[in-house]
Amino acid sequence: MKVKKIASLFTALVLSSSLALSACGSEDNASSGGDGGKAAAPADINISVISYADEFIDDTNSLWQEFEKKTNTKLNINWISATTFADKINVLLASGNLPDLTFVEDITAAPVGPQIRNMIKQGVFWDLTPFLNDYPNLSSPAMKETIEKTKIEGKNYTIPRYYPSYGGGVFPILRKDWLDKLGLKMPETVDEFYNTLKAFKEKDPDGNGIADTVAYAANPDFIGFMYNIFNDTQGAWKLRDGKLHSILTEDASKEAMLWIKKAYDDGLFPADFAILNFSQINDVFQSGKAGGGGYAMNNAWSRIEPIQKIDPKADLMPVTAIAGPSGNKYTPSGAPFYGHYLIPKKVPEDKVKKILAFMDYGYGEEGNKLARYGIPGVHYKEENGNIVPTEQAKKDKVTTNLMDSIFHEINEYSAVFAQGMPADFYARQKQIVDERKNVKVPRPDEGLVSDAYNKYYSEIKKKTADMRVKVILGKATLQEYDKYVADLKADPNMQLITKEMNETYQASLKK
Amino acid sequence: MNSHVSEVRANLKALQTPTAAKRLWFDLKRDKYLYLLALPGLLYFLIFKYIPVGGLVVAFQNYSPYLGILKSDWVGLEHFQRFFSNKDFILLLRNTLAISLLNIVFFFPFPIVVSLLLNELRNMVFKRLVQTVIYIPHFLSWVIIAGLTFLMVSESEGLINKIFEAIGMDKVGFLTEPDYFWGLVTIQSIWKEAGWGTIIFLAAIAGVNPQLYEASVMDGASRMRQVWHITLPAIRNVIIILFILRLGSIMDTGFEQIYLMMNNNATVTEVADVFDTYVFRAGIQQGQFSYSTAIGLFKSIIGITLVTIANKVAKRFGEEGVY
Repeated sequence: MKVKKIASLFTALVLSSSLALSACGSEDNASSGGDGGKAAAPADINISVISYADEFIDDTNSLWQEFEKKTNTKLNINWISATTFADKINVLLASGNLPDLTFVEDITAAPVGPQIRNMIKQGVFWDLTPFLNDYPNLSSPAMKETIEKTKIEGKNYTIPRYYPSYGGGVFPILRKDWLDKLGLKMPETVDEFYNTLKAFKEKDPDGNGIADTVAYAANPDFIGFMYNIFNDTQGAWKLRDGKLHSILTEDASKEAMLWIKKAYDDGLFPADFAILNFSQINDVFQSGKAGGGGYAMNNAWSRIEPIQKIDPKADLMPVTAIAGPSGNKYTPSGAPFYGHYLIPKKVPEDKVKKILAFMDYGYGEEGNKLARYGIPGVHYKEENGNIVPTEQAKKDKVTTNLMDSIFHEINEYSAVFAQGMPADFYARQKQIVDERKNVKVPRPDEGLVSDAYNKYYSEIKKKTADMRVKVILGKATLQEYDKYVADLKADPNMQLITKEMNETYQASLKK
Repeated sequence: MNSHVSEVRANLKALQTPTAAKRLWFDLKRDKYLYLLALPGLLYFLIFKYIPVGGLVVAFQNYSPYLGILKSDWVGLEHFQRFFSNKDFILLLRNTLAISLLNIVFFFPFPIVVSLLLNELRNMVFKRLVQTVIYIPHFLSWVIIAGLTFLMVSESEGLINKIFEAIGMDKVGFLTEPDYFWGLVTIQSIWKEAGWGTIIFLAAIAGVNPQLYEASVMDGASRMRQVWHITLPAIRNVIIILFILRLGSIMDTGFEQIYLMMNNNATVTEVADVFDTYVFRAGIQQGQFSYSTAIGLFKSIIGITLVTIANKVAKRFGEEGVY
């Protein structure tokens, strides 16, 4: 009942705000009727987009205003905090009243993916395929793969948001200074990774004479990449004998679980491993007592400050790749985008063109740099080819995660850079990315969907994750786990998901 | 109170005579300003409570927000079938009922006992102080209470486990051990809401005629006798009405509390997953609006059935009931 109340409250809020907004929109249409002259009225664009920032900016911000000036628009950006994004976007979709440009993280997997697919089928969004070629930056070679990989049945219903293929994803970042002190090298296999963590725990790497270190800051989700390492695959499906198999039921997943269990039993994770949330993991990681944690590569710099306050010599370094028992290396990678923008059909065609022009500016050289670094001369100065941020940049919150979360910087190394990163550190990060690029891990389920998958998979996935945690914590036996997996394999819903996924997979091969 | 209710009933009877319509019109005209005053309240119930009831039809559709109620496909009882044949249904029902019943057995009497105790206090300053202190947790949000619980009982930071450690006992995983979960949430509810719950009972107790106590003292009744023979019977009506209303929400366990206690905590899902959290996952997080509406409808039907039965039983035993 309570949920419904909250939902209806949100819906009412969204409805009323969008009523107000659409009122502005129609005004704009009226005035932009006589479009010929150069004094065309700025186009109103309502955007809702995810942001990882702690504080948001509004239309009094100088960079925001610069974008309005350059693109002749009146922006209305609704920042949605990453922590509540999943819930809010659902309510927004349910309200039936979407802004002109709506950001969603995923159009394949649950939670919102299935819904978006349905809505695309129902014709709720513009098919942008015929327009895209008119925009030089959106159809540039740099964006080619991004645009190509986000096609649905050959058509672009979304404007994908660029994100480099390598450097992102949850993968270990370790204390390089501790490794050096203990005379260890970066781990390259699961066994080495295990021994490294064990040494972090037992060999007093911080040298204070007390066994008070935590080997690795994680909860069961944030060590989840082990299942991918053991299965030699990205995503939730594995290609074996020409068929897709869910990694929930694979034998290799049991091995991965046992690896985690052994590490847990040896005390390599924090005390409340099973119940830590993301911010609590961060607290452990940044306490200076942890040997590592799982993050995208840019965190190796952005999270170092609190650790260096405790230990000035602290150095964080991302692991390049880890090989599983089969000897195949694994590193996280993905298609070159993260998230999509959708334009609902209720937006008139000439406004769609204005929105695309706005996005095109953002993915051009000038706009892209503007979003990332701010106004030249005001927010940064270029010295010997290096960009040096000014004090004003801090005041105007020209950082990552605000304006540049609308258009990510097109740069294959952009996922590894963070504000204030020294040149040598950046060079090391780039080198890791270049090494990661040589590691090719298949992702057979890329873009595949099925009705049964949409309906049943997330509950099954949750159940399986719960079961694994119970085994890891010793609250369920291996026999119980084996029985659970056997039951799951025989479950009619699971069989239907597997059947449908294989059918779509075969169909996608034929194309 | 009794006399007032019978007066209202007499008025209702009068309305049912042939001149009822005339009488109603006369009343409306005479008290028009009073009715005007009630209008916003009536509108509130109409707009926010009655009109949304129409939305329940989506439980029988494959609702899509873009097709709307009129254009969405009708699927009959498909969502109900899916829900009842779901293996989780029994689990959800068990957890919901267990948490609710524990709440009724342990939480419900708590404010009554506390208000009886408070009523016996003769030092007004102390009484007010205690009242204020036990009200405060009501104003804290569940997020804060979940955080406090973590600080009290977790294995890494928990005060209780620190004490256990200091006296040489083993740490106890209060948050990760499924056996403790139901007890933990019941204690949380009591801590948060029991003080607030005393308000209504204290008000009822304040309405008891002091002459009754004086007379009983003359007859030599002790404090315990006074409570048993005067105070409790005097507030019996209030207790029964609140109890009936409580039964109506037996399928509601309080979403926020359970969600916060089980979120990110795979070890207790089996005992913690209730209808409210399931509806949240299926409805809000996965966008299955029709499916979750069907579950909500099911919950409401159970609730209203229980209220009706309890009300009938109460009336049979000569009590007033809620309607």
